[in-house]
Amino acid sequence: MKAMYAYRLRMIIWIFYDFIILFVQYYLWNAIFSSSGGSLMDISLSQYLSYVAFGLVFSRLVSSDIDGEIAQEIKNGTIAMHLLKPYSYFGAMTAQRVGYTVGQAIALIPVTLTILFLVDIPPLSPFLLGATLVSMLLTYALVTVLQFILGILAFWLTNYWGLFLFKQNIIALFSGELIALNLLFRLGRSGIPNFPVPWIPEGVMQNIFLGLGWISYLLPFQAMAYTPSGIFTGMIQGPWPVLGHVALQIFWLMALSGLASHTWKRAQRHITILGG
Amino acid sequence: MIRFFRIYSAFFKQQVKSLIEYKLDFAAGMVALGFQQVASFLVLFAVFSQIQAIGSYSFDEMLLFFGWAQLMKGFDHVYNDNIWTVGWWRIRDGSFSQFLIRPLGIVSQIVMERLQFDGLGEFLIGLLIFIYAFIRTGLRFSFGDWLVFGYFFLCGLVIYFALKLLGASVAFWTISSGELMTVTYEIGSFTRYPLDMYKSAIIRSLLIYVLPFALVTWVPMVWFIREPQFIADILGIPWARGSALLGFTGGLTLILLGLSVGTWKAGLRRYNATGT
Repeated sequence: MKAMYAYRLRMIIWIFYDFIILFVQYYLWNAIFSSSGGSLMDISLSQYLSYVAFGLVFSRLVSSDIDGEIAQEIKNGTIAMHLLKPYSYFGAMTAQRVGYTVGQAIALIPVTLTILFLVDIPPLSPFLLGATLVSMLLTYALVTVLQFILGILAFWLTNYWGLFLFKQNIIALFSGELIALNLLFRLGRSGIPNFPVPWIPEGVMQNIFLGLGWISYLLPFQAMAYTPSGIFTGMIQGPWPVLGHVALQIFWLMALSGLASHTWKRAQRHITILGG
Repeated sequence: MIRFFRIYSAFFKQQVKSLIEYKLDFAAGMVALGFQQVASFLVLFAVFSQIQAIGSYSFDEMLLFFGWAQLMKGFDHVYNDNIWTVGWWRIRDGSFSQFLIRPLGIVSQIVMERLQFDGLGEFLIGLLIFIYAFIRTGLRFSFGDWLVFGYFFLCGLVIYFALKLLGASVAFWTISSGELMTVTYEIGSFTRYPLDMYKSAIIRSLLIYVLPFALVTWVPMVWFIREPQFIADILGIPWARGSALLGFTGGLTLILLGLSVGTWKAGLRRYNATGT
């Protein structure tokens, strides 16, 4: 935490940026929805706005830069110092990440308060509130494990910047951050009333959207963003879909943890052989 | 000037050699950036599959802004990417000093040291979208129109250049200003959408006067597809019509350039004085 507030200027810049994103998204979706008569594919403006706004807060809350940090430590060799000490590297990184999150949460207060004024808060039953909390915790764990894996990949990759870009863009599309996943399915299933590009067959476009939806569910990223904000804002409706999404998160957490410990073992062998 | 281009071409040859050497890095960067644009394009498509127009803009007109914004960003990304290193680490690790001992302008050295071929993907996709939208909207350019077009293109490049230089200059005082540059740069992406969608005087003023990305993307395109009165109304400057708007754009561009060069020079003096 102290390390974080040492960079106060940095924090102020990010808070400012979050505000800009929030307002830009607010006006953008307002313009879009008002051009379509208030609702888009049965989703109302206030529901979509709350999805976008809380999606922003949730994603900031679970974000961290431990992947970059691990990659850095691998590149300059300081990781060897950690290995000499009697604690798990993963544990140390997680502890560091939790500290970062506390700072992050404090920095998010102004934006969150603004959101509470700006958008309608979805009605929440105790079940949904509980599911959101559980889902948030799972998301947090999932992001931690994923970032750990990505960081370790620096052992084998030279162009970490390329991976970073790749990660950002793939996650943006397949996690539901750019567009809610249920919209992809609705687009694919319902006919497209207005076809903006006349020379692409409608069926092809519908299949692209459906395909994107399915790929999203085959990849772990939707479990790291869409699930908590989707449950919270009612984009995921009904008790069974909610439980199903949470179960999927648990599955991904186990799968990725397995992958992480496997990669870590191989990476450790790599260090021991090459001497860092 | 001739000397500049002679040295630049020598650097250019080296760049191409390294490009051929590291094909995979190049491909990864291009794919990642291309992916980002395909994703935002899909979102635009999804929205327009439900509605005819956002505000007063048709899909093809939106594509015009979208393509132009990517094209400008990509062009700047290719030739002027190295300045980021000043903002991120060159001051901190002291490698900035190497520029001071060579007999060539510092900014020239920074520009020619690295070409970022990753940006080519952005540029080409932007160009394709732009040409498509240009044909679909039925635009016809006279010789005079091409001159105006070229003028806007130059102003846009200068604005990008000046904003990045200004952002990097801040590092002379704060050691590192990568975050500031990132946030500035990201805010530019909001002008992929027309300025009048943001029904907020604060956001509009920000994008016109503080970080004038609206002059990079919105003004040049809307100039060709809307009446002068409409543009002046959105800008909130009644006199900025026709050639006065051209003057306004150029004037603001020059002021920004002056400001950023001034800050850069002041920063350099500071750097020289303390030697840190």
